[in-house]
Amino acid sequence: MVVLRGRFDPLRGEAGQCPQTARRRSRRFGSCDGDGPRGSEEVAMSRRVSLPAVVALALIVGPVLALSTGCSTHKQLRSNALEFLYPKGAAAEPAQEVRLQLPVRVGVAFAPPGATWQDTFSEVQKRALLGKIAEAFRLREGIASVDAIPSSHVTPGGGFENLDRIRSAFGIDLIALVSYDQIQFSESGRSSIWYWTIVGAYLVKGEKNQTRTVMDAVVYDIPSRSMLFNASGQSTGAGSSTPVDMDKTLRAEQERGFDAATADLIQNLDVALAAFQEQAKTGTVRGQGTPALAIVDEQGRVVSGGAGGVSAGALGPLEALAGTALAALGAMGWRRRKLAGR
Amino acid sequence: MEKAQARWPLRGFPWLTVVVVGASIAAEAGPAERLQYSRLAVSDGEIWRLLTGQLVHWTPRMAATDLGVLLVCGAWVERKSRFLAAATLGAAAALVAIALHFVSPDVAVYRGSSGIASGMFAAAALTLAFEAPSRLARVGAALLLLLLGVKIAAEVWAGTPLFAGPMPSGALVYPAGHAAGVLAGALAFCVRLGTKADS
Repeated sequence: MVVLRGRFDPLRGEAGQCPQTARRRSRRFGSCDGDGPRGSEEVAMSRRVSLPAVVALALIVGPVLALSTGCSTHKQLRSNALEFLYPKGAAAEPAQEVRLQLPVRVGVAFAPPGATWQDTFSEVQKRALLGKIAEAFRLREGIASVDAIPSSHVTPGGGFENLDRIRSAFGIDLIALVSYDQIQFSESGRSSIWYWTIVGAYLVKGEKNQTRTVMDAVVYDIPSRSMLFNASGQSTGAGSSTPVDMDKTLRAEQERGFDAATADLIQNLDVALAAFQEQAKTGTVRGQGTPALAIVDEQGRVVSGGAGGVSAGALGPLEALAGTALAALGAMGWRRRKLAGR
Repeated sequence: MEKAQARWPLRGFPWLTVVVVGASIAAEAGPAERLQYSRLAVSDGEIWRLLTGQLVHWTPRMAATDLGVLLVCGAWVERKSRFLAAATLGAAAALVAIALHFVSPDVAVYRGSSGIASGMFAAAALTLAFEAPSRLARVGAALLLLLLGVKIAAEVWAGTPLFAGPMPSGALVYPAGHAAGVLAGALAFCVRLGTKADS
């Protein structure tokens, strides 16, 4: 009976639930995953009783169900640097002139997730990914050090005050805040319906999973509150699994998604860093209208940009008047000579 | 002489000055950020920025003032002596570049042709002061040159521009560039005087 109930619940869509909901419940009851405590006699009896009935039923309702779309669920993990920097109610602080003294010391941290209780992105994973990002930029010219900042130091909604404390604690000038947004879709497709009506649980991979990951790194100069540049990386992975292995598969895909998106992020950060270095030659962070940018070397000499470093060879109205007067004098002086010559 | 003028009617046309002003206007329409002087870029090998930085400007108003003075004074000087005009242009561009890169380590980015224009102003004023038949023109030119010299000296001494028009946010006038230009104009005039004396 247990087996029959487990198989038919999804077909009936009991209480409007999708097959997955019913499936989870059936797993809890240990009906068909093979992991739960069930005796061999019960299994044997259930096969004898259920299989002919199920096959007959499948022949009738199978085509109808095959046309149905099944149902899908999704799970989302996300953190947002802007929500961390500018929590609700916090006034946006205007960016000031940026003065970077080479070589700079950089911190890399994950922006805290919105709701930590449902965040399955572990600290171990985060440290590993931050380590990869730090490693990629550690030996660059103009960068003294890149430190991975543990998530425990980044308070949700902490804003720039939190960053100031991190700056003091780690001795960093810049921080790269990494946000993530990962969505995992699990869809019950056609095969899963056949699974539920005909075939045993371990024979067909019935669930289609898709994992989409976007990671975004935004680099801030902490003292000036100015965003210097940003870059993002993404990955999309698809796979399938049995319902039994669903959680395990999703966890593996989650990890693969973050790894691939991090690799993409590192490449794009490299491009963004090169673009920023080029932009620095213009003396502003991101073009006219954005904060002025001065880069100074270890001796404090300006090597690029900055107010005072941006100079203009401009004549004023006085010189313009003097030039006009000079031209008039010149014209007058030689004309007099001509007149005198006549 | 008359035959030569008949063969080439534009012989007295100040084409050198017009070409420089035209190049500057064309550069304004181009990628000015790739042409401006940048200490970092010049150190990376983009040495043309030492000269092209003197052709681009931060604002249209700044371009109009600089190029206006350059065109008026340069055309006048060139009509009197093309050698003097060419020598002033070359010397001013070189001295301003040297001043920017080697004398003023605080300047990281620069745009403007005021150095060349100042040089041409000085060359014109000296020519007038020494060669104009009219005494009024000679005295007037000398006074104008003195006025410019005092202004530049005050700016360099005080470290702040006097009577400067509105500048783009964050940009400061570079008076040492004007001083370098005036010095170049004076040097070119002296060289011309020397050649005339020799001849």
